[in-house]
Amino acid sequence: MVKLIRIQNLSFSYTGRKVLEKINLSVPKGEFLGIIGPVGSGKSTLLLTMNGVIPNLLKGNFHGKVLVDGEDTRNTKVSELSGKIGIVLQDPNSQIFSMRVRDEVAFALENRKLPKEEVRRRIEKYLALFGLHSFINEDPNNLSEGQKQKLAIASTLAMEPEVILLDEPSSSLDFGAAVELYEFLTSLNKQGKTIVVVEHDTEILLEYARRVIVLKDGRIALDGAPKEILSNPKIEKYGLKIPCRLKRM
Amino acid sequence: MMISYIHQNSPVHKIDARVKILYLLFLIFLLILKQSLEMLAVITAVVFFLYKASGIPLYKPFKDLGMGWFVILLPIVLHAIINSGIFPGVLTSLFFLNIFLISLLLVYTTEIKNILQALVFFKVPSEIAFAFIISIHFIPFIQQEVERIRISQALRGYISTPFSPPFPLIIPLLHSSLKRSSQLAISLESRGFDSEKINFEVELQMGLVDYLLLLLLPVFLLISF
Repeated sequence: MVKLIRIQNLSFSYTGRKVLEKINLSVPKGEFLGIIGPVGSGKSTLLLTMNGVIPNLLKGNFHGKVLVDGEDTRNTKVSELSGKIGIVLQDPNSQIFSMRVRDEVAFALENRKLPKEEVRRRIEKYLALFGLHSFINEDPNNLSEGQKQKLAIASTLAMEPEVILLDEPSSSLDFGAAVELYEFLTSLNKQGKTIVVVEHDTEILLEYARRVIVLKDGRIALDGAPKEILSNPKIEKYGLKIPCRLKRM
Repeated sequence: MMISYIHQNSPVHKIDARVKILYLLFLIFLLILKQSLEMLAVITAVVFFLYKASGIPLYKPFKDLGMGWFVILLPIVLHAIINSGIFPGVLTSLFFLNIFLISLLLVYTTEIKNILQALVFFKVPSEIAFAFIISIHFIPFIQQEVERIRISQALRGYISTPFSPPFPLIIPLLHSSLKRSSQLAISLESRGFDSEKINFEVELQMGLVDYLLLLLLPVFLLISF
């Protein structure tokens, strides 16, 4: 199977604090990977190494190698990698900056110099997909937190990248919207897209991920199938919750 | 009250962003180069007329100025202390007030994306143009953030007056602003933003009135000097 992301012996620290230590991880094409771990275990940092934000934008002591489709992230611009890897950050308020909903989705597409017709088609498609079409000319600041999160996701998905990284995408969504989002991610995954998601909700990971890794103190503590990992009593020691469905078994 | 674009269907709103920027620069240059009472009076009248035509209530910029009033009123205080007279100070304050009013009118009547497109059209490097429009866009957030921090500090007994130590307000504000700007930088780069020219989905288009205003600009210049 083609390894789309290969992380080799990666360690990262900044301001004297070790955040990631000796991470070795391969993400094959078409994977649906869930990353879980206690607060401060390095989940979001690991995500940011996958699209080159670390070490290109956020500097620190970076050792090891991250290869995306064979390209070393240390030698590739983040903007160049953005065609292959899209990322949705945790707080939508930090990424939305446009005055109109349509402009927010258009931003990445304009950067990639897509033809105007294609830009319009994708704006329509992805806003409709997230039920935001009626807000197309609205100021994003007038949207609810959940709608802003959907807009942030729509603007990343509109780039149609091969790999989609999401940092706690369900944190500002209600249960119904979170399920809707994960159903959509599953359908993208079935179409061959690779999904990597940092998630605190073990129930969701059990339902949707095909592989789960548990990070603890910047190291990969567990790696395997969701059912096997999330039923491991160790995860409770890490402050994580065993899903109800697995507890009953 | 927030400093941001106000949707209206006025003639001022309809003017092309490039023409508006040219006129803004023209008025500011006039203010700087022709420091006379007559010119100040004419420009003040023009600014008030433009506000009337734009449908933006005049009290709006006066309320939005906030800390800007400190810059505007400082010359009056300084002149009163140094020169023992307030008239020159009033003139300097009016000069600053006009600059603020003209700049705010551009923000109130022009969509931020159109300002960006105009700046890129004038060959301003896209990173600088972007930084400029993002800083305009973040003014309302900073205002909200200041209010939020002020309330949360007041709940812990901090009373915000011009004489209170500013650190309980400034430090959390700096922290949240830096965090927000760092996250935004990550998000922009991750969505392919680069220093090359951006391919805008909708291009700016000049209308008949815009061409007319452009033709009138040299005429105004000749009359003024």
